[in-house]
This record gives sequence, structure tokens and C-alpha cells, in this order.
Amino acid sequence: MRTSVGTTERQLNLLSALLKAREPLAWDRIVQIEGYNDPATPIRSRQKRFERDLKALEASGLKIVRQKDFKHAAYEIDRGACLLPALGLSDEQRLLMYRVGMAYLEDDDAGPLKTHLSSALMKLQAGAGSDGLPARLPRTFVRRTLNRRRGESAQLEAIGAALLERRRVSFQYAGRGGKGSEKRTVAPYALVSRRGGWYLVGHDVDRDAERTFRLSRIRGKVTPANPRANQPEYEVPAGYDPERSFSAEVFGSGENAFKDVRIRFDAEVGFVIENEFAGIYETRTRRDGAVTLCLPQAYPGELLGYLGEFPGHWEVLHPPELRKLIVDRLKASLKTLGGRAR
Amino acid sequence: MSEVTNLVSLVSFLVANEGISLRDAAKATHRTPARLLRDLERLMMCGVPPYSPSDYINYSLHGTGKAAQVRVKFAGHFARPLNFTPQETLALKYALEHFSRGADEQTQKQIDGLTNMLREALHGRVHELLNDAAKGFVTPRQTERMRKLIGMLSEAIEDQQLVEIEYYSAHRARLARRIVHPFGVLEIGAHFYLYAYCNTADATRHFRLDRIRSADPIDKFFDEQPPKRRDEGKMESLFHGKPKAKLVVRFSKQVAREVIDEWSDSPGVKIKQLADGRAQIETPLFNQFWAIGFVMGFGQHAELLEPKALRDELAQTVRSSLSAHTE
Repeated sequence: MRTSVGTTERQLNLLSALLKAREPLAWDRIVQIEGYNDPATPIRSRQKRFERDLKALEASGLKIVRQKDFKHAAYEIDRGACLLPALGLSDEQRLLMYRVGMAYLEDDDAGPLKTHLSSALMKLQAGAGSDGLPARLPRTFVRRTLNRRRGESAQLEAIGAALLERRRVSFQYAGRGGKGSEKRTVAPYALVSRRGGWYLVGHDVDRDAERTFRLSRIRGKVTPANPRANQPEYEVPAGYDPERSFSAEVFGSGENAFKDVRIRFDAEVGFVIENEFAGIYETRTRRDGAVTLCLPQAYPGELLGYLGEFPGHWEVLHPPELRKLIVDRLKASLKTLGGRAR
Repeated sequence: MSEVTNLVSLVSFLVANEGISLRDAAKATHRTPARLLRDLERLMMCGVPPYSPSDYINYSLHGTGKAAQVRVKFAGHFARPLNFTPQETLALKYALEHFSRGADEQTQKQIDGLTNMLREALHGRVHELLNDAAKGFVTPRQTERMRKLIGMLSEAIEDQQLVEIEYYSAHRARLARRIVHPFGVLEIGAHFYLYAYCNTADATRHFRLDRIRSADPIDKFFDEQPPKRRDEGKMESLFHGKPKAKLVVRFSKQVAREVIDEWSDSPGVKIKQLADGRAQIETPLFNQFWAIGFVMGFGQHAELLEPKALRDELAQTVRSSLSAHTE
């Protein structure tokens, strides 16, 4: 008999015994399970160990019923609640699950979904019974990632994990225009990617209100607000839609944004505009292939950042004030560069 | 997720897929073959009283190498997997939602069908979460054109079929036709890329999907496997690959605060706050086109100092943009 059993192995032994048992397990049988059967360890220590393991299994989502009809407590697993029901999956659905797994989990940078998604997919593929996998496994894939900007992945991972666990997080945050940073404690509701960066939307505990935080403004590490919490700490309000907290305008919105903006792109790059914006904004395509992009509103800085990718292929048509501003800014840019460029 | 539930899920998967190869099992369970074997060794330690040999989980490999078939024995009690935890339910829901934002119509229908099936089959808390939980990770939805393109390329990738693309190269600032061997569609940063071997370049390349004007499968097929390292070939991305040079930009005091807030804590970035209120950042340069757009966005408030060649290119870009408005 081995004298030392690791925690994971011991908990697996306990779970195996619970699943195999045909009647509730009382202590006289539990004490035979490896990990609790070491006679050199005081019985009270072994009972404590068993209680810790039971809590750990329950924290993993298992429902264990304590029977009180017996002289001593006995334990039984609720199979109906603990086991996945039989699932009838079509070939297409099996292939889809495999693709989703490969899309997010093939490499190590899967981010916050990694462990829980991996386990969920394994369970689904196991729950589908024999032939849980498609007959022919594809060798190449569409690869998806949640990471958007360099430097945001650590925060994304920490907040994403808290979002899945429904745990509050704390971090130092430098608000726009403010000096320095201050501690914020937030119940994460969603992570939203807009204009190339990630935003956290959630309930700010100290302000007792919903707030939006740009991840790039978070300083240092994101940590659990209550490291000892082992249960969900909040619920996301029913019907909550994180996208309502954001303008859908790609190039910004607000009182000071230019309205009714029109930019023409020549035939060489017009299709890029259609690839990116057709159906989101109005696009007018001329016979020669030139495309006019119509934006309800836009800020010049956001626009120029995008337009810089198409040197000489675009022209601001409307409004005239924006056209003049863009021309002035281009001239000023050239002047700034002129002193050194030539 | 605890190690226990992970290992139990692994056993359930292997029981359901008896005889699966080590290679396929590792891939499907999102681990390396070596890690899979280590996990199986751990499971062999687990059993129930009275601890006769058949009371311990056991496994055997039939054949050699990664093609060996895996068979798990004495694990019938794990044949039905454990129910989803709330975290697993949310992860699955979020992943399916996110995946659907770049999926074509057919894949979208499959995702809807799978989600509906799960809603009907699952009960209790898991059912509630699938039905009621708000969106978790929200990224912009791709246009219909892009989702069709992703769907078409995915089929060509699957069938290992050559594709003729018409591609706008920002580097050459012109459209050109190329025949490519498509290996994968990758989402990197804010963009999707086609990873493919290009006949014209005689090398692997990453083609930004929004720069593909047209893509048509041709009646030719290929057999070769993609290179193991996906960053091989020219990687025109800000976020991956090796930096080409150092980008140095100086910002006016009007925008210095905004830039410092934005770039603090970014890996590899050095920020200097100058005595006159201006700020200067140094960052590895991965993508010159991004850099030009980034600096142009600040207008006269940003001066690109290094590299010199990029400064000249920026000046040329500004001149071209000006001439489109003045000629």
C-alpha cells in the first residue's frame, strides 16, 4: 500500500468511490479509500482531509448529498445533477465543436477561455458517446483569438477569468485627464473590443454604478478583490447588453465630431472599404470601382489613423470644414517632417 | 477548473473514443501527447477498495509513436462525463458567440443548432446560464463579405485546394493576382489573415483578408503540410513576428498626457517625459503601415524621428494625401 497520495489522486479516489457505490458511503467505507486509510495518521486528521476534499468536489460543481438517516453521516453523489445528460450530436455539430476547440485552444495563447472551454468541449465530445469526434479530423483551421493589443493580454486574462467565475477584481486605474491612478473594485459584466482596444464594463463597487474602463489605462496587475472567495460574488443583471454602453461609430461619436462625413476611395482600394464597412455604413460604388464611404459622424484623428494606410487613394468630400481641417493638418504634418525629412 | 474535473473529463473522452490515436486524442483534448501520457500515468494511481488490479483505472497503447491507439480500462464509472460547471457553460457560450461573429451563414446556422440543442438537453443552472447570461467577450461583427470570404477559404483549406486571390499589397501599393496554397485563417490583433504558401513569392505569407479583392478556388489541389511555425514567412502584423526596427515618435505637450496614459505598461515600450512637456516613445517596429497611420492620426502633434526611411515614407504619404485634395 502506498503511504502518500497526492490531493488530486485522493479526490479522484473519493469521486470514483462515490460514483461506483450503490448505496451511501459511510465513514467505515470512506476510511478504506487510499488517501484516508493511512493508520499512522490520526483519525481526526483524516476526517478533516475528507471534509476538505468533499468541499473541493462541491466547488467543482458536484452535488453530494449528506444522508442523515444513518447512525453516522453517509454521502451519496446526485447522479442526475452531476452527470451530463446523453446528447445526440450530428456529424456537423461534432465537427463544429472540434473546430471551435482548435480555433481557441490549439496554441498556448488561448487566453481566459482556455481551461473552462477545453473541459466543456471534452465533456461534450464524451457526452456524444461513441464517435464523439468527427470521422475525419481537419488538419488546418480557422484560428480565433481574443487578444487585440500588445500589452493587454495579462489584464484580459485576469478579468476574463474573473468574468467566468463571477468574482470582483481590483486594479489601479488612470482615468482620462487625471493625474496618477486610483484603486477601483469592479464586478465585471463584459469585455468589449472597440477601435482596436479592450474595455471592461462592470459595476464599480465604490461608486455603486456601472462604469467602463479601458484596459490600456489599468496600471499594474488585476487581482481578485476577495482572494478567499470561492463562490460567485455577483450576478450580471438580466437582459444586460454590454454593447449599449458603447457607440457603434468606428471613428468616434459625440457633440464635437464632424457629422455627415463622406470620403471617396479610388478603385484601387475601394473594395477594402466594402470588405470592412459594407452593411455597417452606407457605401456608394461608382462604375469605375471608386467607393464613397458615408459616416454619420467621425473625429479627424481617428479618421487619419485609418486613412494613413491608403496613401494617395482617398479624398474627404464632405463636410467642407472637415476637408479644410484635414488639409491643414496634412500641411502641418509635412511642415513638422520637412525640417528633417529632406 | 480543478485538476480533478479536468482528468475526469479526459477519462470520459477516452472511454467514449476507444482506440483513438495518441495524436488525435492529444489534439482533441488540447494538450501535447507527452502531457496526455503523463495525465494517464496519474490516473493509473486512482482506484477504489478493495484495490484488486481491476479496481484501478488502467490504459494501454496499441502500436507505436503518436499513431498508437489509446484504450482506457476499468473506468466505466466515468463513462458519462460530469455535468458542466457554470464556468464551463459560460466559456462555451462566450466562445460560440465570439466564433459566430466571424462565421459564414452555414456555420452560423450550425452554431444556432448546437446552442438550441444544448438548451433543450441541459437543465438547472447550466440551462439558465445558456439562456440568460449576457454577452461576455464582445468583438465587432465582421461584414457579410468578410464572413463569406472566411467560409469560402475555410472550405478550400479543408479540401487543400489552390485559390487565386487578387490582393492589394500595402507594401507595393498595388493590386496583383497570386495563386496560393491556403493553410489557415488566423485572427491576429484586430484583423483576419489568410496564412498560405504563395507561388509568386515562393514562400509562406500572411494576407490580410480585408485586402483580398477576390478569391476563387481553382481546379488544382496540394498535399504539403503548413510549416510548423506559423510565424514563418513575412508577418505584417504589429503584434507578432520579430521587430524590424525601432520606432521613435515625439509628441507635442498637447497630446503628451494622452500618449503616456495609453502606452504606459506596454511591453517593450520606453516613454520619456521631456522637460518642456513633450513626450517621446520608443517601441519595437513590427508594422510600418500601422506606424504611418498611427503617427498621421496625431497630425502636427507627432513627429516620427526614427527610422529615417519610414520618416521619408510618411512624408511621401502625407504629400500624396495632400495632392488628392489640392490637384
